[in-house]
Amino acid sequence: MKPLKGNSWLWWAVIAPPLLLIAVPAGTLVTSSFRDAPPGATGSWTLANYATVLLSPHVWSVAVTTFWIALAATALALSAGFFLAWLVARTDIPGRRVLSAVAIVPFLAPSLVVAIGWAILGNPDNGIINVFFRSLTHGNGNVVDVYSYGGVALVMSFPAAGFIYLMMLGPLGNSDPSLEDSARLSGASPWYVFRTIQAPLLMPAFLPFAIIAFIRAIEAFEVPQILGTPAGIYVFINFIYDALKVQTPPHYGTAIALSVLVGTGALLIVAVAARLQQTRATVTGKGFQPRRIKLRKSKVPCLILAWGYLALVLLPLGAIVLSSFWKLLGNYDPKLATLANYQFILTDATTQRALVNTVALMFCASTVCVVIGCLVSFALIRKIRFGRIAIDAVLLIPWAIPGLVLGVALLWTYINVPGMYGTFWGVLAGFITLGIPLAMRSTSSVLAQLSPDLEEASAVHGANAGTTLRRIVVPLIMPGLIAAWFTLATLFSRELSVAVMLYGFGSEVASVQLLSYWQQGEGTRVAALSVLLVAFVFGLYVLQARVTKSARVPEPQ
Amino acid sequence: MSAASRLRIEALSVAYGESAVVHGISLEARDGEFLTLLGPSGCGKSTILRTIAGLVEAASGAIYIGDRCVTNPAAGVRVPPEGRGLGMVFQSYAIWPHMTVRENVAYPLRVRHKPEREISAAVDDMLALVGLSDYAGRNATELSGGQQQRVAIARALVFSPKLLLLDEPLSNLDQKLRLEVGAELRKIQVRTNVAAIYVTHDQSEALALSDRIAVLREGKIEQIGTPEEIYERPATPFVSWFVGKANFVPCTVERIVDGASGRRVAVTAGQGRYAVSAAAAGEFAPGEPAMLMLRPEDFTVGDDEPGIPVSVREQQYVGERRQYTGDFAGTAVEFTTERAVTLAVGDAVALRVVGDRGIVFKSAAVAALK
Repeated sequence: MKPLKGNSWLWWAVIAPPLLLIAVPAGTLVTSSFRDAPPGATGSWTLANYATVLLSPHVWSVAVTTFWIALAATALALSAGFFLAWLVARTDIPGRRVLSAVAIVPFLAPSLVVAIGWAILGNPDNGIINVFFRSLTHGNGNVVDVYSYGGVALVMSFPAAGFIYLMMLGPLGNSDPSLEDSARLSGASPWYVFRTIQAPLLMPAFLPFAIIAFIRAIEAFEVPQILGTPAGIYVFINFIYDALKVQTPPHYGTAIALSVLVGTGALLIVAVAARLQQTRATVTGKGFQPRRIKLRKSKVPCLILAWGYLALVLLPLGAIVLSSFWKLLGNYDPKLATLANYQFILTDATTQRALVNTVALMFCASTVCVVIGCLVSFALIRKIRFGRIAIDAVLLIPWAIPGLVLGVALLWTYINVPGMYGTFWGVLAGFITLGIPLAMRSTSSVLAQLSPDLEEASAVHGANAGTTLRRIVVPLIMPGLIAAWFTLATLFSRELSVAVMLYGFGSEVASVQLLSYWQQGEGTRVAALSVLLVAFVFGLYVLQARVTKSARVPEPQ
Repeated sequence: MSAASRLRIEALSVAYGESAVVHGISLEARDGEFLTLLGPSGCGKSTILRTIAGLVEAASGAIYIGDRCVTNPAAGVRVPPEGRGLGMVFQSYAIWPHMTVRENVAYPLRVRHKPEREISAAVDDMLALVGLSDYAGRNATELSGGQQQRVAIARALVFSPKLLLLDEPLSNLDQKLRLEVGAELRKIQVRTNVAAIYVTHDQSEALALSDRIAVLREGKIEQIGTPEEIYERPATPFVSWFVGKANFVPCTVERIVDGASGRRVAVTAGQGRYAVSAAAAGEFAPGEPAMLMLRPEDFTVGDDEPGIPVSVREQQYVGERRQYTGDFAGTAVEFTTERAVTLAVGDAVALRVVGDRGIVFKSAAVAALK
């Protein structure tokens, strides 16, 4: 792969806009963390923001909370995700096909909806479970309180468990069974084989995903916001949100400095994980038929564990569906059943606008991202050699840092750009910025499989770079691009943490509207809107499976 | 044979789901014996081996290792692989990539919680036996295919099992190395006096290494015997065709002679009259058209006496011999000659048959092969 000389300036022109979309907000965020006034206002250079953050005992206690909750959520997610993948890939568990389909639900279901579902199920006042328990015992105690550390960690574990499940299916299914068979024949029990052979062999594939899962737990916004805030449980992200959006006057300085610190930390750790992923020793599989382990007596306990965990995701979704047809949360008297919630969200002007905006943003942002991803990956794979490390680092930023921090950075940048602050275009630019790394990863793996010979043949026969891209490259990679488009569409259709910073009157999106109804105490309307959102996300997934006829390569979001 | 039975298989059947892949086979291997399961892919040979190992479950029948029953579905006996005390070498070698050579070989002893001194001594001995003493500290994945193979053998033998299972262990090596490693494997097997069950689809490996060969076809045993028996007195057209090269020359049965050494048949093929062995299966009647199986090296070329007339269609010089394909009334006949015998394409020659070589099969049995 030799870079073509002469027209490389053209490729620099191609990658400059996405680089600027990311680099300018990142620069703005870092710069303003050293200023004592918001962008646009007159101010002077200072270190006071960092001093405030680092010297505040409250911030340190938030740090400790964040760490422990993320650790607990990750540990739970890793065990559950690995266990589910193992059951599906390597055992004869009954109903494997159903299990493998349902195990994707934790990955697909928007965290916001699952968190709200759990709030409906297990809030200490009128949570369905608690109400039911009281009616049984005629007491007034509580069985569950999801507004707690455990509640936050549990619900936070779902998307990560789904992610680990999807990521480990391949390595588990492809591993050479004779490596295990030979250990069994050497006299080792299945558990000994797992400890000494399987686990060490899977570790290189597992570790980067485990790190990413941990980072995503630290960066999660929805779950701590819904389940942590009511109990005064603050992690970095809802602390930043609180400082910017809830407190009056907003504590800009603290929030921005903390954002920079958390973002930088996340970026470094993600870079390490990406590095591990590149250098990992691959255990090659060559068309092995994985031998399924007979569970025999362990069948029932395994079924209970697997479905028990999945029930923890399915139950809140059920609670959401149920609540969407009732007047009040917590009181499911048949006389109070109603369609009014759906009527409301389908006729209310703001909600209608939010739904239209969500769909429009999803289509526009996904399409633009795929195009940018293609052009940039192509430029980086074939044409541009200079400054690769720096470019890669910049393109990693939106994926690595917390969505809310990215939102803050974008907000601080767009605030001074006419037509961008609080508008549809601002949210669109934000979504595109967020989606670039994901688009890059999806498209570059597709492009990497293209042989340069095919393009060179086109060039030899008289086509210029543009024609080659349009006539040769794009048709070859179309299926991969469609899969990438759906991955991005799924991300954007449920995106909250960037949108919540950038939206304004007229540019609301569905997830922001959900959060806002929830904060207004409109629980049943939230439920109805959630049902629509979940149906939409699942519909996208089914459509994608139909269109590409293969499971897409999922990415953590 | 006074040696004890090391492995006994009784009426073993194995099925994958609905489809049966092994149909009631019975086998026995003695202590120190090298028994080969030979057959084309899909004949069930690997399945039998994996059933012996306990990696695949039997549908019916029984397997005994020594005196101990390890598989008997009817009686609910199903000893797990780790309880069978077998050594096994896999086609992929299955060398654990995260361990050194020494750790790989030591694993079966570690599992058995042997004292560290004993492990160390046994591993050193095994590595010396397979000639890998200098590689003990290497990462197993840095080794060549042939060396990985030896690690696999050392690991399978380190705990002195009485029975060694080998699943196409030479198939990933190149031709030259294959012969070398095969001979070495046989030497080690003889020295350790372990009974070996060896699975291969390569007939030359099977002939060179085995004490006895079981030829399998579609989950059934076609013939069990020494390499000489298999090659020289194949029981079925399939065995003759699969082991070595076989010509099936149309002939007519003249008369049947029952002698002390079994049934013999006098046949005519072309102008030649031959008294040859009859196949074990099937009765022949005088005047019946049949098939005379002859190997390429069973012929000599001579035009002085009546034989099988062929016209030469192709010729190939392969170094030690010359190979020809001739045409006998529409049947292709392969034969080899000394280097010195040079025939040109189009030459008409008569082929004579050496000694009493050749076996007569029923025409229908040969036709079923095609």
